[in-house]
Order: sequence, then C-alpha cells, then structure tokens
Amino acid sequence: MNLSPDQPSSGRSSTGTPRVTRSFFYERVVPTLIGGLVVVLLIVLVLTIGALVGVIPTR
Amino acid sequence: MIRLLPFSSTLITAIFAAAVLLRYTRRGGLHLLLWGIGLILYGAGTFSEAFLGLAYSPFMLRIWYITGAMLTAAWLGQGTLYLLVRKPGIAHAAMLGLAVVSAIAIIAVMATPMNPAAAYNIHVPASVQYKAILSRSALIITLTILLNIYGTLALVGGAIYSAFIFWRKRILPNRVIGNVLIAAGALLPASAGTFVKLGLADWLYLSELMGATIMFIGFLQATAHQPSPVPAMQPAQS
Repeated sequence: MNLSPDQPSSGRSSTGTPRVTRSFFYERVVPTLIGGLVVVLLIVLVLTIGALVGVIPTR
Repeated sequence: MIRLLPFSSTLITAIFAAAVLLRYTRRGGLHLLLWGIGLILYGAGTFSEAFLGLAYSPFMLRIWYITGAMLTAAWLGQGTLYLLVRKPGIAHAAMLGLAVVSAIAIIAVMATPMNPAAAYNIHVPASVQYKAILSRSALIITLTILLNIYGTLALVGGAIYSAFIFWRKRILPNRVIGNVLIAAGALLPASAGTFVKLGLADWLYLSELMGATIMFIGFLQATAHQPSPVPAMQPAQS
C-alpha cells in the first residue's frame, strides 16, 4: 500500500516535486527506520519460508 | 476486553477500504482497486474473527481462514505490484496467477472436512484452535504460506523500496514517512503467526488492530497534499 516515486505529485522542483533539505531526522532517523524494517521483513520471510520447507517433506 | 479488538479492527479497516476505494473512483488506478479489495478481505477476516468470539459457525471459520490467513496479504501486495512494476504485462500475468491460486484456495478450504469431534470454544481465539477443527491438506498449508510470502514481500518490500527511493531523492517527505508507516503496519499482522506459535494468541488481535491503524495513518500521510515549503523538514542551518 505504498505510493511509488512514479506517482504524479504536486511538486515544484525541477523534477516537479518539492525537495527536502538535510535534517537530523531525515539523515539519521529515516534510514534507521528503513533498515530496521528490512531486517524485520527478512526475519518474517525466513520464518515463513522455514515453515514452508518444514511442511512440504512431511506431508 | 481483548476479544473486542477484532470489532475495532473491522471498523477501522472498513473506513480505510472506503477511503481507498473513494480515491479509486476519483483517480482510477488498478493498484487502488486491488488495495480496496485487499482491505475488504482484511475486514472480512477480522469480522469473522469477531463473530467467532461470540458464536461458532463452520462457515465463518472457513471465511476467517480464507480471508485472514490466505488472501489478504497477497491481494494487498498485488496492488503494490501494479503500482511499482512498469510493464503492465507482468502485473497482469501476476494478477491472473493470483486469481487462479485464490480460486483454488477458496475451493480447497470450502471442500476440506471439519473435524466433528473437535469442540469449538468461543472463549479461545480461533487462531489457537482452528488446526484441530479445520483438516488442512498439504495443498492448503502450502498455498497459505506461498500467498503470504508473495503478499508480504510485495506489500512490505514495495513500501520500503518506495520510502527508500523518496528518501534518496530527498523529495516528498510525507511519502517517505507514509511508506515507512505502511511497511511497519503491514509487518504487524504478517508476523502474527509467530505470536501465535509463541503462545501469544491475544497479540494477534492487537497486531491486526495496530496494523490496520498504522497502515491507514501511513496511507493518509502518503496521500496528503504536500505543503510548500516543507516546514517539518526545513534545515536548521538555513
């Protein structure tokens, strides 16, 4: 349920979108959040795939 | 008290689905339509869960499993695929595959026998006792896992990817935050199976409610009109 970079937007820069300049939140917090989400996603996928591998041979 | 949560989840999901489908009627876009369908499935899952907390119905248990355990994540993820994949042919092919697999899943679950000896206890979450009642075949289990892998990877992975791209380009901070929230919200119900295995079945209810709420906030954030200039992201040094 995301909105991709390809979505049209109400921008005003050369690319048609407002640009964000540097801030602590944007430089530190956001990448940490994204990295954390990637880790959690990988854990969930590994657990799910593990369940699949465990199910197939036993059924 | 905790068993009231699925009612709240259903209400929030219904409002969320209405907002997404309203946007679809105004703007079009298959991704919005599929997200709307996915959210209706989400709501059907939480509603049947709420129903099963009040009374037992074999039909509602089947609906709960089909919507809550099998189809929701995959259909939400299919919406994201339509948004991110540039070649429509790939998205259409995946859609066709998902439709066929979904039909097989529905038929398989509807046809699977229910264990007559197992008594359903309305005071215990359905997620704890469904295995004893619903005689799931290897096909059903495998389809459940594959659909969830596909849906989680597409929905959460797509949201993380979008957030990263917007962040790297330093544009549209509302969509960065919105996509981070959508990814986080989607991961909560996606990890619910782990909660159940850990004996925290009640947390499934909470994860569904929090997941729907956080995704809705993320959607509203991502679709909000971007103010100009961007006060929250203005640099301190400028």
